[in-house]
Amino acid sequence: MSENIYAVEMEDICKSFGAVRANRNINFRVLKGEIHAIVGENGAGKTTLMNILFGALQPTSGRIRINGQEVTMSSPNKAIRLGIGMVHQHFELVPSFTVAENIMLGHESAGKFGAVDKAEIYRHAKELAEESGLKIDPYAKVGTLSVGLRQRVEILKALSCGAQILILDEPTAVLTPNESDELFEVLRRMSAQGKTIILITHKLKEVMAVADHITVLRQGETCGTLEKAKTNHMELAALMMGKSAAFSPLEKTGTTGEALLRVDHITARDSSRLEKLKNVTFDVHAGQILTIAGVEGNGQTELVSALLGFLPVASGSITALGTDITKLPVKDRRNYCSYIPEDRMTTGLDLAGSVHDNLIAGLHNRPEWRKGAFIDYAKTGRHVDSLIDAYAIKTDGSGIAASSLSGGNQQKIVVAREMNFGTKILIVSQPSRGVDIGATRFIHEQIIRMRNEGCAILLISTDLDEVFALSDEIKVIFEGSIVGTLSPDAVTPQELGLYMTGAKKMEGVSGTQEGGAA
Amino acid sequence: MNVLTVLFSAATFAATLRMAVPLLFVALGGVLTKRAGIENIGLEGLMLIGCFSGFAANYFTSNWIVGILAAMAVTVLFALLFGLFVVQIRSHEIVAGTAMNVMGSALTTYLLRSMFGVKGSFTDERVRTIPNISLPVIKDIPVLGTVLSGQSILFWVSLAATAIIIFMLYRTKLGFYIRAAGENEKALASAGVNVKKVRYIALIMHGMLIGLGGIYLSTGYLTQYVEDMTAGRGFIAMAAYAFGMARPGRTFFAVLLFAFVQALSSRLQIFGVPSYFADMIPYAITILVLAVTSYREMKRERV
Repeated sequence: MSENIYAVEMEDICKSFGAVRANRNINFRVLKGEIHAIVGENGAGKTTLMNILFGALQPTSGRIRINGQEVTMSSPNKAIRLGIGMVHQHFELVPSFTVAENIMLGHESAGKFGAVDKAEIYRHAKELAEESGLKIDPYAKVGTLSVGLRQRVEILKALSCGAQILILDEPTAVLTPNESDELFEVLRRMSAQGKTIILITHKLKEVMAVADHITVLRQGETCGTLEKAKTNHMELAALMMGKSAAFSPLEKTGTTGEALLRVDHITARDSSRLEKLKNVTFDVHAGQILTIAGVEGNGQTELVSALLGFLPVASGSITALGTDITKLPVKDRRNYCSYIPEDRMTTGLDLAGSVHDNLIAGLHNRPEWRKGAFIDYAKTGRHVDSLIDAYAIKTDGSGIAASSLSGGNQQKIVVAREMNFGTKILIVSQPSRGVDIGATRFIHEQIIRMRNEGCAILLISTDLDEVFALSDEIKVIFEGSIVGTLSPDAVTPQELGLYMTGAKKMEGVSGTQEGGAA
Repeated sequence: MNVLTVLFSAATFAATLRMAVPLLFVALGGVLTKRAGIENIGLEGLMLIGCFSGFAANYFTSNWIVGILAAMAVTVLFALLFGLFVVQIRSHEIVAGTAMNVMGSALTTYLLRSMFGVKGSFTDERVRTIPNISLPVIKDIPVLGTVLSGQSILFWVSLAATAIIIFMLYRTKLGFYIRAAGENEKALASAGVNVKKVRYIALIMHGMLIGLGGIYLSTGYLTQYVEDMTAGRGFIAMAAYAFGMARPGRTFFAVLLFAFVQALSSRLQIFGVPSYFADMIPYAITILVLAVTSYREMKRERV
């Protein structure tokens, strides 16, 4: 390896945000002219590491060398001077400007009466597009372009500043499969021209398609750098997801009953009209935990939004306890479904509100909790006190603001409230996200208890260990479609990982790509 | 006498252009800040400040040019004060803009009383009117002569200003930066351009234009200062650039529309339409036009 030239070397990089250690002693080297992928789950520290390389963040400790020279990456401007360009997930473009005007923004030359030399701008943009092989019409208004082409403008902007090392942060997150393929084509060509490409992603299929080397990050640490030719999906999935944490199976009792929640061929689009759910169908039965497993961003958020009524479905129906709730407003759906959101601190709680108000939110407009136009505070007060006791919420009375409680106790408020609505359907999104093992364990116990009492539980999880610890049945979601129905007893984590990353699909699933491995 | 021939006479069109001058200056000022990413609802207050300060400077020097320059300079100062709040401290635009309106009205009323010892309105022979321009040949052409000849110098300045702003906004570097600052300041900042500086430059031009709009009222259209004499023109100018989607060309035509309605409403009084009702018409039309504009925009966004 000694004859190899490294474009980027990062040694022992550490970065802490308060008590959170986003990067821990990361070692990372990129050969000149290669395509190097950084993979890892969300929160693994990929973006932090790249922001350090681009000078947007300063490392707590560690060294960076560019082309063998040790440097201090003090700012993005410094990084740009050293030939590093970054294409962010959110584009920094002016929609009403043409492609060329965007590329040249800040570098225009002025002619008569201070007028911008348009001919020069378009000439430069054309040249750049031809040199790099990134085909684009320099006269097109950026606002009219597809996302894929906008990304191309971003890449051209970076190249126009003289970038030799290009960092792309989750570049395919916003692209269609065809656009992704085109992007890979472009990246390969650029790498052939001697440019160094660093690709941040969590999609293993893409990594296997385009990367020369792959560095896996997990929980802020490097789990190794692998050569593409010498690895496979399975090894990468195992490295990314990690080994089993301290989840011991909880006792399940009771039998599965009738289907309480039926989702029938629902399709939904997001605000930019991209299809995020495609013909999703499943039933959740009484006394069953059905898990929607998948890598984040494959339609889980949209699924939950569609079920709860935040996102209208384009077609299909949702039935709860035999009632069609497809067209019901959020408030009415909550009579059927409880919901523990992924982001409990902001979506699940009013932090400025009192513990009492947070615990009765949603109950307050039901007739049995009211006295005429007013809330029956005597009754809600007793209810709140009993919940505080039952869930051991550590609080100085029910009148204080929820924000003054510890994070774990805030979580308990949400769990206590949602599990005591008297509904038979519970939707839980990412219960172990952002909480320590103890709190995770507590939430898991509560979920199992509800299941044993005959509730239908829909669990949304990206965490393999959690999926195996709780599920009665697993549905894998990939790019908005259910690509597999699995039993936790009959599948290995590696195999599940293959489904989650789109490398494997079940028979009869409407999909466009062939399974990459079997 | 036929109502329509009076309403749509050459005199009405001449009045339309006179009404359009202050609206055009102020609306163009609004266009610049809007495009730079600042919404200033304090146009009315700034206009009043320009109106008063220019009148006062004219009074003390008996020189209409000094009056114009003073109006521009003082309005720029107050526009920069507004900028200090919204650009530097990033305080709430609506609150800061409202403050400009309230302050503009209170300050000018206070100064009128303390400096000149009068209430309501004030006029003096020392104040020089901004001259009108009589066009040699054109003035003898029937309709065209009545409409174009005899307009204030500032009328021609406002036309020039429109052309200059169109050129500046779409052809020069500064215009590119102003538009980028309004559309995606991150794009501009990442290109190494100082966004705040661009916004301050826009605010300076904004102040100059609004000062011109103000001074036209007190020493051009009339030669008299009346308390709160802007009478909502700042808000109509806002409506005009909103209707013109902050594009200078479209805003120009929006201003003509609003000015025409104003000219028309004052003529209606001749036919016994109660004056308060007639005065209401331009504002009612403004609301109507804005409702239609936003509805169209809403529909377009849905597509």
